[in-house]
Amino acid sequence: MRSQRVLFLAALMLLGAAVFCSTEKPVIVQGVQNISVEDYKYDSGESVILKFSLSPDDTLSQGNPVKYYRILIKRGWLEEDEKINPDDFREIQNITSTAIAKSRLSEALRKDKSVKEKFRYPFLDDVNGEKRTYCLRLKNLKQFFLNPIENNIAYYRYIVDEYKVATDISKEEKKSEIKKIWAEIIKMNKELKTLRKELNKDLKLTVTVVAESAEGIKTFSHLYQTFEPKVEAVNLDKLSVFIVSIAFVILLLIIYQMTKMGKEFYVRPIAGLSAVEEAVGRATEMGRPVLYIGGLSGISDIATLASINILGQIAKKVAIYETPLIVPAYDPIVYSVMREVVREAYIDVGKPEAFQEENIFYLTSEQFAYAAGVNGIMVRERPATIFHMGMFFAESLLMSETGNQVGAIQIAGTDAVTQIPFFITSCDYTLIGEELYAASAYLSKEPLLLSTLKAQDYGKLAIMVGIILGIVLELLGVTLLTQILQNIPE
Amino acid sequence: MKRSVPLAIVLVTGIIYFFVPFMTNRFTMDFLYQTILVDWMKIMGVFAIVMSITSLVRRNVYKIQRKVGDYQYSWVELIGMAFMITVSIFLPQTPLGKNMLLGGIREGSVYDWVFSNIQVPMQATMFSLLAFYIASAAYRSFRARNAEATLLLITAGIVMIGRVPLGEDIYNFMKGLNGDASFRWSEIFNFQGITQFILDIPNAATKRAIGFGVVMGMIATSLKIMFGIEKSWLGGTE
Repeated sequence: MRSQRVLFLAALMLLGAAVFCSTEKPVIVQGVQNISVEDYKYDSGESVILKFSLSPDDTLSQGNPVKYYRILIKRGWLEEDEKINPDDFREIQNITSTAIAKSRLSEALRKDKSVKEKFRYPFLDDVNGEKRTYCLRLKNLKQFFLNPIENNIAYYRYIVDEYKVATDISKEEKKSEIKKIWAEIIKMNKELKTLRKELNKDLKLTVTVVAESAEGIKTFSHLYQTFEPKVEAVNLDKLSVFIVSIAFVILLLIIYQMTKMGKEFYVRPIAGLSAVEEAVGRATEMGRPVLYIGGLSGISDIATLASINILGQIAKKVAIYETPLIVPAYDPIVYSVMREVVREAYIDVGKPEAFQEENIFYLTSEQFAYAAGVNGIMVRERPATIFHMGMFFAESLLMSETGNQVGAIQIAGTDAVTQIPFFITSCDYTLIGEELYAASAYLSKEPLLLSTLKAQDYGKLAIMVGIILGIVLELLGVTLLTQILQNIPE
Repeated sequence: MKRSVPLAIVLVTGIIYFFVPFMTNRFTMDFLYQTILVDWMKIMGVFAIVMSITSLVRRNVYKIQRKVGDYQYSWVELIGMAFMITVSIFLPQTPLGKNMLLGGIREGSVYDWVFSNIQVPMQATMFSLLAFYIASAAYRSFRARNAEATLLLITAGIVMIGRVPLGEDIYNFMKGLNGDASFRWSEIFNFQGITQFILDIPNAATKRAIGFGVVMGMIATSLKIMFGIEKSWLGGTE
């Protein structure tokens, strides 16, 4: 009986020990090491590059206890002896541990071999070729501190909208509630303005990184870094672009001056532009209108400006013959400018009475609605001549093919490389790339304007020489030119 | 005066904005870019929209008054526009049935319903028509009338086969026939590889050549406008 009791007790102890051993202890991981911050150059002072050495526990060989790194940030700098108080910090970003990222990546690669190389190692080399340093860009730092207030304002505005459509409260109640919320919104807006001013004045920050285990236990390394993003006055990365631009400006002005002094330059004929006169004449003979499509881009696009310049020249020719000119515009601002340009062209050739204002009109700013509208005009009005000049997108073929089907003579010009083949296929003449920009000068036949075309040609010649020189130097093992050209930012 | 003031404004702002891409300070980003370029453009846009809508209404009213061919479509345009403006701006956001609002532009409003169920499908229809237009344009350009057109036809044929699964199937089949022979004649049928070569080398080179010209043209046009050499955008010549 006694031995039975001893056995029972021993079994109980064993069971207890087994239960005790099987209870998982929370894994406390080691924190990160060596946090450093570098300024992100040539931005508006809102980005930095954060680097930190990985936690020693961030490795697959140790069962990968680190799951995340949480990057915490606070406004102001910590004093030298000041200890980190986690409650003062806010999380700006969290990233998966490199070990987990690696295992996920190998899984992804098993499924899809096309996973790009750049996603493979989002961390830097450290000692002995082992990748143990994480490097990432913290951007929009100002916005990070503004976001909570902006989100609150957006939420309160949403509540106002909800009150407006609510049916279960009286009108008076609605009004008073909406008034209260608006008062809050105004208060928050003031707060936002003050904070924005403060951040613009001073953006001193402190950053720390916390390693977190799979169980969610966070380890503060008690390392932190204070920093203040800098704003550089001049972007030295673009110095080469600046020098080339200045050189081109000087070249253009020299050629312009030479033309002014009487020097004549030969300008190569462009078939599409030589045909403009013939195209307008054809419309006059047939008694049908000319349709001018100025592209689907805004006024800030240079292609649109070039298109407006061409419209001015074409409008003059059309006005002389008193042929109707239809101009459906895509953008409201472009419409206003185009209308004035056409009106002035009619006045300029002494035919103000022939100007029909209702023919220069705004159509729509929706891409395919515009294409449908223009196609409708083509089918109904049967224009004898159609110009497509400016920036075009996927609708280019829809419009030019319809123009082809109605039997119009079509002249297109665009710098959208992807649309050029469509225009070549369906139009009679196509101005490729830079010819669009040359068109206005070519049509005006003014020597001073034509001189700028010569400057463009010399610019292209310089590029060609640069390419050939680069190839020769590269073959000779001199890489200086290639390095300079490769450093030009996009 | 009518010309010299705009020309002076263009010259001064042109010179300032020439330097903007090379500067990174807060004044450049916040004031010159955000306030002047982005915000002012929005303000100008509002005025321009009023003028634009006026022009659209004027043109359609003109067509209806004179009963120009197919003037009935002008009624559709005017009624559609008036309807959308009325429901989005003038009508209150009162519930209309279970999940619908009468006024406003929020999700579930009449405006939103018309946009999502009429305008979006109509635009999608227009876009899908592109496939047929491409077929008709391709037929015209791929006719082997001369040496260049024949070259285009052959190149386009290779690129098309290289872009569809059939190309890979043909290549795999030929590789099987080729076996382990030292001369890999089956590589002639590597349509995907040939396609990639065509796109990466001759095609990219041509695109870049056009790109260089375009950039030169853009700079020259900007300078012509800035220095008042080109005045067509002002209308007239003098």
